[in-house]
This record gives sequence, structure tokens and C-alpha cells, in this order.
Amino acid sequence: MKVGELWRESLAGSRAWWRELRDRFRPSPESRPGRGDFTKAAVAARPCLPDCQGAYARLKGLPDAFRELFENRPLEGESPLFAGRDNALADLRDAVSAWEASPSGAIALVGPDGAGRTTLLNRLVSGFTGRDRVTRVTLAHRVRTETDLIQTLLLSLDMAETVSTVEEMAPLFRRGERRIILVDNAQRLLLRTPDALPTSEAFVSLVAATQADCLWVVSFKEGAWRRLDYILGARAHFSTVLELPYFNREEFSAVMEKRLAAAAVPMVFHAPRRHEKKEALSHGTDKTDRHPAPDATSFVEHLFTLSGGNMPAALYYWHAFSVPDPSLKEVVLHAGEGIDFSLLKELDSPSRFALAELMAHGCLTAGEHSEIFQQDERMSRLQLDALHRLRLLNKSAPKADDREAIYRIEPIFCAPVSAFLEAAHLMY
Amino acid sequence: METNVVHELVELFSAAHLVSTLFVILAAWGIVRALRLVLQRLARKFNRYRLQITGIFPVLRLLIWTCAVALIVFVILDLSQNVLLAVLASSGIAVGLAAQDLIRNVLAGIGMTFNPLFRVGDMVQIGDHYGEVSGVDLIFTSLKTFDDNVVAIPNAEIIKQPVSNANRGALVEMVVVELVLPAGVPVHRVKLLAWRAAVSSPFTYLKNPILVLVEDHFDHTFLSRFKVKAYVLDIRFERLMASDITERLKTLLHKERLHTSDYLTGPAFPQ
Repeated sequence: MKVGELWRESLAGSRAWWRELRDRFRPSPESRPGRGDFTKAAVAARPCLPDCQGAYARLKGLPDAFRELFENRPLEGESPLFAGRDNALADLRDAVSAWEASPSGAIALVGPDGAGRTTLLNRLVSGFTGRDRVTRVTLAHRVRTETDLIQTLLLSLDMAETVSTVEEMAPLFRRGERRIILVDNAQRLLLRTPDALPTSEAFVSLVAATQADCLWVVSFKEGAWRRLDYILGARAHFSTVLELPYFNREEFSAVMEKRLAAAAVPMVFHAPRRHEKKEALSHGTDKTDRHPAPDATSFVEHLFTLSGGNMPAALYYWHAFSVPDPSLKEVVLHAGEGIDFSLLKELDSPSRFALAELMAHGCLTAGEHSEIFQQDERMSRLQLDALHRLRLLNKSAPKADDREAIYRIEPIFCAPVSAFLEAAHLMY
Repeated sequence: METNVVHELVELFSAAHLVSTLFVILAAWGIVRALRLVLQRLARKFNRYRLQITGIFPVLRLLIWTCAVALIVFVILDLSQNVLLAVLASSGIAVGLAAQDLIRNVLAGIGMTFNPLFRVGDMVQIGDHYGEVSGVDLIFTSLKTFDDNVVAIPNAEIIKQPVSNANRGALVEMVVVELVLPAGVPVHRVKLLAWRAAVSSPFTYLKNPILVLVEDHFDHTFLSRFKVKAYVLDIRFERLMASDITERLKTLLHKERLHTSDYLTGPAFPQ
């Protein structure tokens, strides 16, 4: 009797197991149109990354002074929040001092998006005295031609002369005292098209020709710098190349501690639960458990583990994990899981190439994308919009004087996208 | 003694032996399949090391099958020396006569496994066929051509002829793009445009140098042949890159009016 029952139970169990196995490997209903069991309702949801802007909006009701502490933007020169880059700043100042005693020099400040290049330049500028002749050139848009480059520089340097080539422009730098020229976002000089390549050639020529008369401090996005170096051997024309990677553990702790210390609103931290599902974060829900952590240190450590020292990513997680008290008297932070980037593997070849070019250029319009890939602009817009819908790219609305929207990779996703493209040998 | 050998030979085909042998063969086949799947997944995940990962598969497969055969012969069947010699002698003659080509291919396949001329993923030219090596089996080697055809070449044929390997295990390979223009074109300008066309192709591997070479050529009239030598970042994009550079260069020449017939009717060499 017992043997019979056991046999029946085993049989039922194995049937259930077989059904489960069969269902697992059975194609989804929507992949079999025309079949009897095809259901129109079974539409696969498009996977996408979490909404960054939505996360930032969670702390809307809190005081501005508190929210600004955790905003993702470059710090002003004198900001008390500056931390973690003391060594880099000292290196930069040493390089500037070395130039004052040497006949020539040029400094390249190289780092990925979100590493804090602009903040470091702001801090450097704030340390200059009134007798230093300092000019700051921030390239806000793509510089496509040598004429554009010359016009931008003439305007920033208050030069009224008319010149048509950088060779004609070089002698203008010999007048007066030696000056310091800081160029931010120099990746906008390099567009990978045959027509635009001469612009970057002209810029490197100008730096090489004038570094006896002025100190160039040029900040480049990492990918753009590497390309410029491969194409033109740019490294040979810069006396100092200062690499600015993401924060390491100590630097990151210092940055976060400063921000947490400055916060006027009390914060309560909760430790992560290891087995929590990743969906919790992507849906912006609050499913983590509430075992209180001993202090903020473990929470900061958790943020570092998730972000890898990428400050925009860390600040995003900070927002995503925070739940303001309804009375707005305190903020509760529940350490959750990281973002699931597995959808990157599903990207097709054109999307991967588009991401690689975006990583190197910093940002692209559909027109620039179409020039790089020699395809119709409409196709380019479709491709970039598809990536935008996956929330990999953010898309700035076209301003009044611009005709086109500008696409860039969300700074939060730069590190994983970069790692993915390097594994695929599309970035090197 | 002869009776013993015959008796042992008959015992070889017992149900227990057959089932065990079949089980070992199926297990070896399953392990090889699983290994292939795992390596394919790894190669997809770590594309940069794709060729190294796929390259170890033929060696591992040969090892697994060798172990399986050894297990069957020495453990399951447990043949005595006499029987082993008898089986080898008789089957050797029969198989040698009936399957000369097959054995030649298998021996060539084993030789190629331990002394590889190419790996899975390499771009090779074997005879008239050019393509990516998609598989190296014991009997055949498969090439995937740019027309998406799979060409199976017997291993014995491969070791008899020269094999040209474009990348030899590396992911990047040199691509040469040729363009023939009238001899009167301004060579320096065309060289610069060719270099810019190669640099701006998204398929170009910029870490390696890009060269543009020029040589004279005569075909009814004096011509200049421009060769752009650049590296593609992944061998799979070889043709795409060649086409892309050609397209860019033609566009640039057209834009600068260097494609016009002036250079055909003008002097062969600039004055």
C-alpha cells in the first residue's frame, strides 16, 4: 500500500516537473502567431533601465539647501563640499607651478564622465590670484571647423584680430604676459568625420605652437583623449597628463561624509537585505527590509559598492533609496539593490557602435550620428531614440537656436556601459 | 587459444557491454555539447577573448573522446592483449581499405588540433575559399564566407595546400582598401583624404597605425593605385570597413572634384 502511494506520488511529481520543464522551454505565445494558443494580450513589456529623473523628484518637498547637497552637478570653486580630490588638485597646482619656471608646458586633465573634471578646474581657478592672467574657455557646443575654433578662442581671449588659420593665430599669444588658458569639455573638438577631423588637428597644432607663451590646461573626456592620442599622438604635445579616475573608497567616503555632515535634515539608515529582488529598485518601490544599520558608514560603503566611485551614480542611488518622512522632518534611507544592466547584452550591433561613439564624443546629435555612420538622418534619430527609450541616453530638448536634440549617455550608466563596450572590443 | 579469443569476441557484444558502451558514448557526446555551449556563452560574454575561448574547444573535445574510447576499451570491455591485437588487426585492414579518406582526414584533424594553422574565429584563405573558421572537426573544417555560406573542407585537403591566415588568433586584422585613380591627381591631397577616410570609419582600430601607399599602374593609361592599410577592430567587420572607407573616400574625392575627367585627359604626371 505504502509502495503504491509512493509510486503515485513520484509519478505525479515527475509529471509536474516535466510540465514545468516543458513550459520553461516552450516559445512564448507571441512568438507563435497563427497558432491556436496565440493570444494578442500576451505582449512582452519592453525592458528598460530605471528612470533617473523620477528618482531625483522623490525629494521634491525637502528644503532646497538639503536637496542641493545631493544634486549631480559640478561644485563651485569655493564650495565647502569639495573633497576627495586633494591629491589631484595638488598635482595640478604643481604642474602649473612647474610651468611658471619652465619654458613651456601643457596639461591634459583626462577622466570619465562624472569624475569631477569641471569641479577640479573650478577649484583650480579659485586659487589663482588677481595677477594671474587666466582665461576660461568652456566649449558648450560642438566645434566643427577650424574657423569655429578660431572664433571661439578669439572671443574668449578678447582678441579683436582677424585670422583664418591657427598658424596665423599663434603669434597673437606672444603679446603681453604669459597667460593660463583653461579649456573645458575639449572632447567637443573631436568629431569623427573627415570634415571635422582638421579641427582637432588645428587645436593640437595651436597647443604645440603656443605652449611657450601660455599654459594650456585642457580637460578631456577619457574616450576622446584616447582617440586624439591614437590619431594625432596628442600625448607627445602635453607635458603633463593628469588622469582623473572615479573616486576610490577613501575619497568616496570623504565626499559623502562631508555631504552628510552638512545636511540639516536628520537621516535614518537601514541596512541592505541580501536576498532582496532587483525589481525593487527598478520600480522605485520600497521593498527592502528595515533592519537598522549601526551608522551611515555601512550605507556609504554600500553606495560605493554599487556605484564603483562614480559620483552621479552614487547620488542617483542615494535618491532612489531615500524616502522622505511625510512630515518632511527626516529622510529614511533603505539600502537597496543595484541596477540590472543585463539588457545591454541584448543590444544589436548598430546600437553598440552608437554607444561606443557616444562614449568617445560625449554627446551627439542625430545629424552627427548620421555623418559618422554614413546613413540617413532619420535612421540615426530612430536608433538614438530607441536607446533613449531604454533610458540609456538622455535627450536634451532642442533650444531656440539649435535645430537638433542632443543625446548623451546618462552619467549614471557610463561605467557599466564603458565596461560592456570594452568587453565587446568596441572601446579600447 | 583461438577458442578463447573467439569466446571473448562473442562476449564483447553482450547486452551489458553494449549498454555501458552506449552510455559512455552518450555521456561523452553530452559533455562535448555542454562544453561547446558553455564556451559559446563565454565567447559571447567576453567578445574580446572570443578567439582564445573558442580555440581551446577542439583540443578539449579530442581529449574527451580519447578518454571515452580508453574507458570503453580498457574498463568496460576490458580486452585482453590477444583480443585487442586481433580486433585491431582485422578492423585495421577492413577500415583501412574501406575508409582511407576518412582516416586520412581524421589523422589530419588530430595533427591540426595539436599544431594549429588557425583557430576557430580566424579569417583564412584555403584554396579559393575565404572566410571565418566556424568549426574545426576531426574530419572537416568549416568556413563561413561573406556570402553567409558554410564551406566544409576536408582536413586532409587543408594540410596539402598553403593556408593564408589574416589574423592568427588576434581580434584585429589588417584590411587593405585599393583605389585606382588617374595618374594626374594630386597625390599628397588624395593620401591625406584617404587617411582621414580611414580614421573616421567607426570600424577602424585606431590603436594601430594607418598607412596610405601609392604606386604607379598602367591599364590603357597611366594610373595611380592608392592602398589604404588599416586595422579593423573585429575581423567580422572586415568587409563593412573596406566598404565604409571606400565610400568615404569616394565622397571626399567627389566633394573636392578629384574624380573629374580632367585628370584623365590632362598630363599623366603633374608638370
